[in-house]
Amino acid sequence: MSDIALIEESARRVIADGLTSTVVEASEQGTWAGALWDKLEEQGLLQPAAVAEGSDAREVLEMEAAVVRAAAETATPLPVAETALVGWFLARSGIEVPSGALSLASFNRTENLSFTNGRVSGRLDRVPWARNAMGIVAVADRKLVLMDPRGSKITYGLNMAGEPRDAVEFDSATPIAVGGAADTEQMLCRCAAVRALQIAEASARVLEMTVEYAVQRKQFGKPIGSFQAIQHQLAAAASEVASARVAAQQARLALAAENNVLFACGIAKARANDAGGAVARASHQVHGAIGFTQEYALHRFTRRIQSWRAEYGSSAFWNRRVGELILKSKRSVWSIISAEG
Amino acid sequence: MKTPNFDARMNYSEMERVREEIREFLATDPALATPRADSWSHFDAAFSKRLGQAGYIGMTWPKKYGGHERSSIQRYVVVEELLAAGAPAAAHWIADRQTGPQLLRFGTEEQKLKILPAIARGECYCSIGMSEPDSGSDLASVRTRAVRSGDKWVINGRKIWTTYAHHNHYILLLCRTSDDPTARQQGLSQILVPLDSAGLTTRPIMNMAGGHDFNEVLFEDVQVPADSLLGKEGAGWTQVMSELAFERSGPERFLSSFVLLEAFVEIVRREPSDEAMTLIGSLISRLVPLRGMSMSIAVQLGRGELPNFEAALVKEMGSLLEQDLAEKILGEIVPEADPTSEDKFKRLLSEAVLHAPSFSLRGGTREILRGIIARELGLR
Repeated sequence: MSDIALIEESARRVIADGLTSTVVEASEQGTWAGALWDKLEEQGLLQPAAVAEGSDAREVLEMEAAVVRAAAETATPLPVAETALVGWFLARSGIEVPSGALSLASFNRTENLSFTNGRVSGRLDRVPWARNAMGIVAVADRKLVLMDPRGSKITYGLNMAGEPRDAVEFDSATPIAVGGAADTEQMLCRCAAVRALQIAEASARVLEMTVEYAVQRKQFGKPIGSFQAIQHQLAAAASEVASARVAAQQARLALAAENNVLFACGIAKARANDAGGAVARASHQVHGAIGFTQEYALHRFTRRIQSWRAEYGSSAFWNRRVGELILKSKRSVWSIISAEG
Repeated sequence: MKTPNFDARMNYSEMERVREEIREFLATDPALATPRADSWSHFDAAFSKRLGQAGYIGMTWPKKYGGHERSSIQRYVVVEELLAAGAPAAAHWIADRQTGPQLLRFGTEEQKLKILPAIARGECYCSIGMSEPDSGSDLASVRTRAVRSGDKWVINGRKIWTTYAHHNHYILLLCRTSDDPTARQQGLSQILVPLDSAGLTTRPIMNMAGGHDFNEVLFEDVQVPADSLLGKEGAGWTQVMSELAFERSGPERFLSSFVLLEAFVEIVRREPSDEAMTLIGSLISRLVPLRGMSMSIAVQLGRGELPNFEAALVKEMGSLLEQDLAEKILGEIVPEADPTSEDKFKRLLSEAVLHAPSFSLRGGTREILRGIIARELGLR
């Protein structure tokens, strides 16, 4: 078994053991799933970049994807993806990665942290799990900074899935560490690729749940999955899932090769956003009223999908960027698309 | 639930050289003076011969059958370059894509030696003999009948939507070789019939774009030698199923109108708008992952696998994208489509819009493909 398969299996096992219905319910009420988090950390699953030290970028990204996949397909209510991303950014800036949950900024154009005399001021909105984080990576005055949210003013907020999305205000705060020049757009791309993977994998799970339901649920004396109206919705959803997954893989390949990064990551996020929306809609339609209830697990996935669609770039945002890239180039569309690795 | 197998990791070094080669070939070929939307529907025997002479037909086949023993991904590159350039590739398309591979899989040594080298030279073209007037999506209901009489098959019946039967050399017929009413699928066989056989009549069917590619083909006591049978008697259904992975997964399922997108981008570069920019991005965001899926299938086909599930997914998404491409550009753009215009964009738009209904019909309707996907998902 490859290292990547081992990591994926180990992440799946830890999550299967630790993500009990009690933990899920408590987490929905705002309780930090600390025991599961500690177990993931203990197994070295939260810092794939550190585990894979010395291996090439492609392998690191695939290891990270294995862990993120295991978390997304179970709707694990923890900042697994964010912590892995921060680990990647810090490792590349030569900054030691602190232990504990880590999070990061949105890297959009409205974010504006000032950096004067070694102190950072300003506000970050919608920071995932800021209330639980030991460190937050942001860009201040075009430099990568690792901030300590403890001691800053944190205003609680949630996304539609009940995941913390907090506002953090820094007032002349001293960073834990300062890195070199940061390319906000490249960081945005890197985060978009991970959110795209999360959406794709959550959508894959949603499809699986919906197929299972359509096989079991009987109406008019037969499984509803035997009706063409249902089959066709699920067939269309399956094609959406497949293409979102491939797009996410293409983004990782582009990131590893440091080639066509904006193009591939933008496409991956736009594709995942649209696929996720289509799959969520079809899955609820096929599930009927039961899928709309709190007791049934479908919403744990669809609420995440809907929330993640807006993060690190909506479809409109990325489609516009991809279109802009094509229009600004003097090359034919085909030569852009076919220029690879 | 079965999960489709797509792996977008590719060996790009294997592709680079062949991409340069085919681009050089296309850059100087006279047929490319008029690029075509729906390029693989345009018949140009002279072009196919030049392509065959240059070694771009039957690329993956063994050399002893006139092939060039190149990899399936190298063939994929050539095919997508033909489509992206809008090359008139219809003459050899079916023979290269599915009849040839079908002969390689199931044919006798004699059949292979006789037909494959001519296909690879770009001189021998083939038609698909599946649909009949009363058998469209319900393919297993075909009624065209072949009866064994001495050392001959005697064929009676009708085939329809037979693309370029009026130009092509062979039709690979799916027909009934057993009268057993319980053997709906097991009573079928594939027979290779020369299109100039006595008793075979071809009637044109014009399409809504005004083109003549379709035909109805009539078989009235058509006689072919017994060794015209392809593969095993009674194995026609399973053989045809293996043909479909080749038919459904290729880049023609999302690139056949690509030249229209290219021409649209040229216009928007001159007159930019936010709406058009977003539209272009949204089309590209669908196209690039599809291309990854299709390339992954090409690799699997090259390994001798039959990724029918994956092929159905590509065709499902590809035909939707192609129809949206024509539809959304038509909805966005100012110049009117004109099939006779000197203006390249107006002509391409017209070609794409008028051919769009066929995208989700040919090679299996959207409904049939969704049924296949549903079966793989475990719903039926």
